[in-house]
Amino acid sequence: MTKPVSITSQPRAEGKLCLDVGDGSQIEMLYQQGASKVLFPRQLNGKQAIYINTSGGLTSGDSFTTEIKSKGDAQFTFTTQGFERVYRSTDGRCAKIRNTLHITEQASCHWLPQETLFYDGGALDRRLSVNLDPGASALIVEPLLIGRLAMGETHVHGSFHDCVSVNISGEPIFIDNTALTGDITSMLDRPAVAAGARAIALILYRARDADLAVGRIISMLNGYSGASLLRNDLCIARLIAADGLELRKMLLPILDDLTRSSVPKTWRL
Amino acid sequence: MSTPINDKILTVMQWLSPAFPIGSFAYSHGLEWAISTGCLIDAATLEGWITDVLEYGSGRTDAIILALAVRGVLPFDKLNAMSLALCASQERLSETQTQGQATGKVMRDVWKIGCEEMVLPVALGAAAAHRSIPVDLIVPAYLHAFSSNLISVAVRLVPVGQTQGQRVLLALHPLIDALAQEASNADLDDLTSCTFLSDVASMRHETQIPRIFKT
Repeated sequence: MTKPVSITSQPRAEGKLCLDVGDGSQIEMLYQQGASKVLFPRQLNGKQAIYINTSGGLTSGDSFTTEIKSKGDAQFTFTTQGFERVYRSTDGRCAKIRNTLHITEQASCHWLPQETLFYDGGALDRRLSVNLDPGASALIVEPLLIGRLAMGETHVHGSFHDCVSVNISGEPIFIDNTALTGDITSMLDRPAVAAGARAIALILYRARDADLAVGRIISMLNGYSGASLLRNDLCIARLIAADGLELRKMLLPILDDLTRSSVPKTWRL
Repeated sequence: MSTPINDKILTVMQWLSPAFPIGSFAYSHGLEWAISTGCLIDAATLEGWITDVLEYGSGRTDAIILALAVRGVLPFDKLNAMSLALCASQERLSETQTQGQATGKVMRDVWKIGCEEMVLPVALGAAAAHRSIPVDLIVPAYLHAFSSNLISVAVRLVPVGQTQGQRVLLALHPLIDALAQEASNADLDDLTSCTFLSDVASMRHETQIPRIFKT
């Protein structure tokens, strides 16, 4: 007699990436496991890493961890090859993502993943924890698209949890804890939520010139988006757009400005 | 023969009265900008907006912060730091800090309660804990006062009459009750939000000209 094979729990994708970037943006340590891979464009000498989830997307039970340290005088940029897709969860379980950045004095890190595309039935539990030394600089972006509008996916149910938290020397200075659960598109249709918009992004800019940058950001926003200077060195912006194209049209000029025209090429492919 | 008066109810009424001297009437929580865009034009649209802020936004998170403070789930300074970090804009920071400081001062001078240098829901929660006022009394009263204040902003700025405003407030009672129950069991992980446009409204109000309200 053969043993029955369980088909209830399929193998899930897992990935782990640990990367330390030091003085002169030299890669001091790299560990990649499972479906997490990074490419370093040669001409940029470690200044930029392009993340690839080789499993092709996220679904129930997937688990990914990324930990990046930017040290010394490193000027490091993280991006992704393309959209990160959150597929329908077959068993209701979440895909779990834990991302952590450590940025020391004098160092900077640009966290510029491309859009997360959330499919009907998706379930995501994601956290980005940004740990800064007092003199560290950071540019953080998390763009989100709800539903494949081009495919006619205008009704999206699911569970989307995304927490971005920023600490300076261990003290919390900013937390954005977004939860969209259940009938997500009906929630987005609500007047004080998104008034029908399907594309949303959070930008966080921590730098000595944040007080000057906020005015420039505001000048590039549409009528549904806003920016605010939370402290002299910390500016945040909330971008709201009807769809992914409108979001990109607003987001890219802002990123060009804040990165001094060094937005990764993958954003323009 | 008179009915014994519950001192805790009277205390909560006093703290959350519009006459409590913390200047709440000057803060519109971004509503002034939303009204200026023409998306709030009557009682129905006003009720829709406030419902969102209560159910998915700062109304709910402030209710949970208040409940966490009353229940003493974590030290006041830690909860205060977290509450500040959760503020979505500079005006959100200033309205909760300014009203919180004013609350701390009145609590010190009148009730001899020490809850200074805290944001509004933490200061109120600390005072309630000091007076053994339960979550199911202070939280609905807080949400009611918060909603009432937003309605009074709308009565002052848009064609929503005073009577219509009272209808909106009455219609919010079941939601206020549900949120108070949720807050009584909530923990830190429940401090979530998705009122992106309400947050944007508070950001854009910072540069709105002309404006009557501080936020």
